[in-house]
Amino acid sequence: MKVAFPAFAILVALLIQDGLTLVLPAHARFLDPFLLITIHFALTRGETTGMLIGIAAGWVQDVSFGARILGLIALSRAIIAYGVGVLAHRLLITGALGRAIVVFLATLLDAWIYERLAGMFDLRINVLSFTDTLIRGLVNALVGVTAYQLIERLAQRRVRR
Amino acid sequence: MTPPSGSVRSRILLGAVIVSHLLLISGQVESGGERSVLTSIVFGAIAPPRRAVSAVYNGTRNAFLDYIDLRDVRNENVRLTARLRLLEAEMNARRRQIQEAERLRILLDLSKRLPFKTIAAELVSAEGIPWSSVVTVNRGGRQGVSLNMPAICQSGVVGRVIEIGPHAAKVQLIIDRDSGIGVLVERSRATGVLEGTTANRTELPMRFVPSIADVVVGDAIVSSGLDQIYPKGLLVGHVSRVSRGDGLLKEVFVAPATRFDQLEEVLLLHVQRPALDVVDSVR
Repeated sequence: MKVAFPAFAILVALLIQDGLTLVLPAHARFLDPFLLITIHFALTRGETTGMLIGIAAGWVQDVSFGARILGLIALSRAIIAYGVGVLAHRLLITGALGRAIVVFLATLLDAWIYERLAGMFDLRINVLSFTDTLIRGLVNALVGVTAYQLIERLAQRRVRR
Repeated sequence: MTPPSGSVRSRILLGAVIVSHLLLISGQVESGGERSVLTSIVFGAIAPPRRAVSAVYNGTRNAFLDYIDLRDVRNENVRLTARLRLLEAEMNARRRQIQEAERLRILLDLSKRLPFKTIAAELVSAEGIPWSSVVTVNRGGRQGVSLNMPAICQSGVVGRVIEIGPHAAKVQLIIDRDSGIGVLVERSRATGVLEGTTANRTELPMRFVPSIADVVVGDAIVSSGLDQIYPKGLLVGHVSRVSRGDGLLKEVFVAPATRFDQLEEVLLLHVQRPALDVVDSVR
């Protein structure tokens, strides 16, 4: 069960990303469901679990979306998950606004780390413009917070039963 | 007990992850980014659900596009049907105009050939042709129409004017029950009177034909001019049936040359009738 749910979540993220790429190819880059999953697990299960799931999601993302050098996204996600996990534990981030801010900042940081890592290895990557990155952060924050609340309500309903 | 946040274990794990990934990435950079076995395995594992998403998307998209196409086709069908009806109506109007022009041309030719002054008139009311035998034309006294003016068309004699209004006139057709016209067989010059009938309007009886007269089926029947209404020599019809009849007279039937059910225009003839001096002197 501990592995099944994260694996299912990654699969769902993959399907969402694929669907978006097919339906809205020009706007698919503004949502990153893999990052949302990573942050969710880091927030709810701590930095270690978040890191592991971030690595797995990053690898799937790397492989499925045609990165020539694997591991860049995975490494970036691991760092993000660690940071979010530590922050969540210390600041008890449970409100919608707090989570939205975390997702927004995590999106910006993720983009920045990814670029730095690519720069370190002198790799050519498609970099989002600053505006696009901001939009991506806002979209991620909005979708992420909504999805997190939905998931929590579903979980609470299951517990009540 | 839950490990403290940012615990040594997680820090070690983070360090290990960073180091291993950096090594992995640098290894790939050195090898030129060739596809590794690990990549192939991960890619193979996630390929089926991605194919499923793609299939669902393409299926939905195609169904939607088919639906849109179908709607477009339906709309186009409605539009083209309307257009077709319009064009058909236009074509019918043009055909009618061509037919009318042709009829008028023939009528004009006829009027040029006739030694009379003519008035072209159009039928405005047929009083239920083919059942009625009186028609109304759109020319009357103001246009010079007078009583008993013969009416003809390109195929033959139509009838005579029996009533006049300022801008319209009534024409009694030769098929009318009360109509009578002096006629003769063009070939043998045998005379008779063609009468109207209420029975069979495609065949009119020709009365007073002597039993010795030379009449055969197919003979052309023309006006004799003896009735003082129709000028001599106008085609009236053709003999359709001949029989011996009773006593001294033959029974002859004539098919009118004019198709009264297709009548649309007529020529009214100004015939200069000779003064009836003989009758006056008898008086």
